Amino acid sequence: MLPRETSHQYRELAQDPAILEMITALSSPTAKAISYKIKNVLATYNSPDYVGSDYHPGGRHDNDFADFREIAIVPTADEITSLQPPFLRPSEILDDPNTKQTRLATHLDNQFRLLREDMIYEMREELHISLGKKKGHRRGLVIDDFKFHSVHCGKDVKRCKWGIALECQHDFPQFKQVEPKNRRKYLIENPKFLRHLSQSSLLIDGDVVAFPTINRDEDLLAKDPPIIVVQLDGEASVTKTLLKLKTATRIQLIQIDCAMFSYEPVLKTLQNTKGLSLSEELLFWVEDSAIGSPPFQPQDIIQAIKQDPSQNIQSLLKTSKPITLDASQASSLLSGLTQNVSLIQGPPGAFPPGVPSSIFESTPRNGKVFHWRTSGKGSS
Amino acid sequence: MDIGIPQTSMVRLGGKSTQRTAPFVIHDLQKQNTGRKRTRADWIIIDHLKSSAEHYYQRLVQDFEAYKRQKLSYDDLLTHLEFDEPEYFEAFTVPPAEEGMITVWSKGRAVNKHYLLDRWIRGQDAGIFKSSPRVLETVEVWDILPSLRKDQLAKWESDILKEQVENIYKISKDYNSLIDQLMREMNASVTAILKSKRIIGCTTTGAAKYSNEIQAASPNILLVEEAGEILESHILTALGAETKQLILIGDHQYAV
Repeated sequence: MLPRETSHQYRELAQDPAILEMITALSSPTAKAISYKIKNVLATYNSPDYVGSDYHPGGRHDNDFADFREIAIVPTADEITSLQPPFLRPSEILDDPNTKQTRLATHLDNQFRLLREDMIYEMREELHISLGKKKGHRRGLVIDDFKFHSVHCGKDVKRCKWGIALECQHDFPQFKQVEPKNRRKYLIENPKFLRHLSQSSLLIDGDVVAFPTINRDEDLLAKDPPIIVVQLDGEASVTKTLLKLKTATRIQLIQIDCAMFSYEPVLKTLQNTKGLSLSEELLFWVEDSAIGSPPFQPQDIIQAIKQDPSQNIQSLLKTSKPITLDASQASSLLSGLTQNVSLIQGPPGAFPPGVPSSIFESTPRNGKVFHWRTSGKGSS
Repeated sequence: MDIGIPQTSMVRLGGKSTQRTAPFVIHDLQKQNTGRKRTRADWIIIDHLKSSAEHYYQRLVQDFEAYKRQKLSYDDLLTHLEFDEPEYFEAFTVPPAEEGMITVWSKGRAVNKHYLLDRWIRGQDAGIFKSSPRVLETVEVWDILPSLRKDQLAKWESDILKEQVENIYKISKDYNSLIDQLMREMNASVTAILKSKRIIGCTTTGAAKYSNEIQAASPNILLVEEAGEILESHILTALGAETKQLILIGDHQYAV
């Protein structure tokens, strides 16, 4: 997979309608499939124009761009303090038949902005609490008075992403009762103290300049005075921090409690999305139109359940325990097996555990299943 | 599982596990090395990425050293002027001595290449070169008032800092992208395990953490339970290029 910057030139070439038409005109089914794939990929980049409208993405602050792929995931200081409402679309735009051409790209863009706004809201709350602007039950750990130490990239056997090593001018109060040789042990036994990959806000001479991620290096933290490594992401944050750091007289770090790690990978994947499968069904479906069917369908099972929905399907599925379905379970199983996209409604527990598993088990061996559960598994 | 799906065809991604689901946890499967072993070609890629990352690391360290230096060196300043302010560079270039001779000034000290720059910054005139043609040609530079020279110097210092920072950002970005690639290569065993299994069980956090690997394994069918609790964006990112079927189970009115 090519990174975004270098794939740009190929996209331009693919956008040439003459070339695409030529591929589509070829009779080979492989060529046809490829041409559809190219169209789908291009559609994810097909962002709409905002000419003549006052409300458009881009230009609010140093991390507001028309192309959502350019937005740094971690917000910048300007962004958090910006008083302008972010760019988000009303849902009717996505249903508007006139915007069909750009719907796929708009939808991805909007999903990205919505999810990111959730994250920023959480961060902003935490930041206000930590700066004392808002009352809250917890106040993030504040570490005052640093000096810029060096650039940090991990040990040479195991390099990590680059970060800035900041040397504390005073020892941590947490180390007061800890003997020098036990400092590292203390850090390992208290993983919540300056937790690895937790978010922080960096203040230089009283101003928030960036929201770096803490890279917990126990060896460096155990030093006296301790050294903290923070990682920065995005051009605006990196340049702002380094420009200010050079002449800084007071550097502070405040830990903020925000589950960035659960947002970041999803946001990154959205930015890197090239083409979306099942987009016909998910985005362009109109009422009463037919839903496509998946290429792999276990015909024997489908026929058997159609004939007699209440029969014991143990022998059909070759399971060790008997499974019988009631009428609604049987019909949902059938739709699950024969439709590209199906939505089965029911609260957890309304179905015996057998139904979703039946769907797995009815799938022929060449189909790989991705099964997703959220219940009580530390989802955030 | 309860209806008898063989253990070996399942894998589980995500935080906690119960005693029953423990045999499918990805970390343990990785340790057991049920995925494929790295080939020679894999190692060549990894070694190549490692040495490129090391190269960028060295450059990053050098650039940070320059960034950290408290005082700007005259050499750095002259280099900056040569490219960005040629008329100043011209004015501060010490005229070459005649062949075999060394230009000296008071107490017989040799004139070095910083002589003119140093005098200008101190608010002095061109000293022994006062009447040299080069200085006379650049009289505008030497006419600047000493107080304004300080402002000019501050501007150059800030320009140089901006350049340094811009440069650091570029190198650091390339370095990070190499580290990213390296980690993806190192995680290839996860992809291999996912590819070898028929069922990938997953929590939201697990799906987010391994999103690259899941996309690479490209599941054909995506089955989501308790879909009412999952954000649409999470589902979109789990749809691989080869996904042909999506089944959502859940109640939108439950636990809103």
